Amino acid sequence: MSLDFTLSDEHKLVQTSVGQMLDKFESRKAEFRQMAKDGKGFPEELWQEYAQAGLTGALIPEEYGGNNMGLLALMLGFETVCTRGFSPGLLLTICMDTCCIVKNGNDEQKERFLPKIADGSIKFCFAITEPNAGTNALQIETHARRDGDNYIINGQKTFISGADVADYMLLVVRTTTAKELKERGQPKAYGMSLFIVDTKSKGMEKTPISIPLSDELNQFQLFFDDMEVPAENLLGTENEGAVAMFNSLNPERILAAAICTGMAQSALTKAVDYAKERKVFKDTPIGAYQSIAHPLAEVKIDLDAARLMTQRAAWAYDTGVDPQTVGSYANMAKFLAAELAIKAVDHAIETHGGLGFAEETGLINQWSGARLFRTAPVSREMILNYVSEWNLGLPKSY
Amino acid sequence: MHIVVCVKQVPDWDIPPSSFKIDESLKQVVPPPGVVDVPSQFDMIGVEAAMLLKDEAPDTKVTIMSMGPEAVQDTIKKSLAMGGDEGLLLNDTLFEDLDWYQLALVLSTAIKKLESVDLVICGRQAVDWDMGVAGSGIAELLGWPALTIGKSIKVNDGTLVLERVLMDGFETVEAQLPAVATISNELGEPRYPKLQQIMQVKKKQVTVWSAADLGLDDSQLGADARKMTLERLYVPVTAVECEFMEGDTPEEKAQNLAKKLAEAKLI
Repeated sequence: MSLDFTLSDEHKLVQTSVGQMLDKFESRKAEFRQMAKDGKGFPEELWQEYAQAGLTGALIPEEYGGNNMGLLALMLGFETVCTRGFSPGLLLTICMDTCCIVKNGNDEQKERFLPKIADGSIKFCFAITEPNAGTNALQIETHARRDGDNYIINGQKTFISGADVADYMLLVVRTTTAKELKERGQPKAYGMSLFIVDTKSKGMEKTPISIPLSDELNQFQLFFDDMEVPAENLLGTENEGAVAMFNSLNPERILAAAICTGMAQSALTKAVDYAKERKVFKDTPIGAYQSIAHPLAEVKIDLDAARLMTQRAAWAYDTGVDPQTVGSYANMAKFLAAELAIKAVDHAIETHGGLGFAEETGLINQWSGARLFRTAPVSREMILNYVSEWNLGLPKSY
Repeated sequence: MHIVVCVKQVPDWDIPPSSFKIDESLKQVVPPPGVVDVPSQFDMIGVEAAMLLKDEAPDTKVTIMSMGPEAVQDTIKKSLAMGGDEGLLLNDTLFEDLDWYQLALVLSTAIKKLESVDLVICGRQAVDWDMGVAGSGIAELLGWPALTIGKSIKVNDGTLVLERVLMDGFETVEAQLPAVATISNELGEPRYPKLQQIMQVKKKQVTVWSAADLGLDDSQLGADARKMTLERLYVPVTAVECEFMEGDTPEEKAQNLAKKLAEAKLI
């Protein structure tokens, strides 16, 4: 008798409070979007408000300055932000990094970083993807070598979001190379390590990657040339970072799904409002025509499904369900929500006709944002591979 | 200082009034299906006023009081998340369908039972019926001064100082505590609860009092004890006529307009 689809009063309060928090920025939404689009500046004021509201501290225990309200609360906050047409920006990566530090950091690292993440005084990005290692993260080549009290890091990363505004990055490297693994007969997942790296470290070069349609964070290619990182910044145990890293990907996928359900809700609301008002033939609103109404009804059905899947995944994470099950829930939710977001925005554009392409509706911007999530942070194909292998027991194809 | 803030839960005031129906035979408003209840806008500004006083004097205790069914806990919890210390729900079938006098009687009796209350704050009016009688009614029955429609509030050495909103400006009025204040939207936007505060709500106590707890019964709260009679409930019909002035030139149109207004004895 424990199945209950009702959000708690506290979770409902998160939704209304985040909405209320965004009210004062409503008139500046276009300004923030343009700021991100031009690659100039960062909506620091909005970021600080996210922190003040407690979004950056939702996954941080109270003894380290957080509110520890959990991933379900944070997910609802993310959804509200996107439903209102704002971007969570760096919140996605910072929350994922936070999970990793909370679960794998030592006391000194937690005391050093978590209170400042919670109060918004430092920002984090995440660096894993490399030119030769995207989907297959175990293939990364960036390498860290111990040298006294430091590690010396060489290599490169690509598609690193927000490296220009982040103070620190969670960097995934190899401390045992693929060649060494082969020689020693060790598994591929061995030899990965995580470091907390100051983004102003000597030996790091950042090159922007132009993403014309994106109104999200700026993307960067990073080059590390004998970059020194203090050994005290090694997160967890050397060579055993793979599990820590993969477990941190679950919250990222759940929050990505919440972004998608928020975008879908935003697009659906715009479409329904327009369909009620717009009259083309005589005095009948276009929403009365089934060719307009039925696709929007389908979006509503899919939205409820994706929302429930996302809430289930967040609930499972918060209640300590095993990471593999959370991984299944998170992947499925992200798959459904990303496909839904594209569908919702597409139908909203269709409902608006030519107006759907005008800047004022914001739908074209939303379309590029929604489309991004089919591919990132994990592609739909890799999710299907995951479900085939882990949920259906089918043979691995790669 | 002990402040009691009266809050009310009302049908979502963002919904267009035209979607509400009137059942004239039952003299009742029928909200559209699926409408959710939310805190009355001015009452949340009342909570904000109490929080501003608590910001100045952190040892101030703020009790959030509401009357209604169990669902009203949503509004109490939101107010507690904004910084209120304790909640009080007045819940009884006898509290349904009260007139404004009976409402003020219940609220003022609860305030008396709370003891050592220095200040009662209400929103200037509830956004459902817009009557604005709760604050003055409570003050009348308690025998306390009522300072109404405030845009700012302060307490200096036991004196309540309120800037009142007037049609053509504002005035500053004072009264010795205990007193009742009603607050207007000019005070500013209410603060939103932070996640940290939302987490603390569970630890805050919400007491529930029935009519019996207040020593009230049907003789005071029943239909026979009502002091107000609702004669008729209806949507007033307003007729609007629009007429365009004829004329070959703007001057001629203006002359025709002036003539028309003069004939109607409007100028």
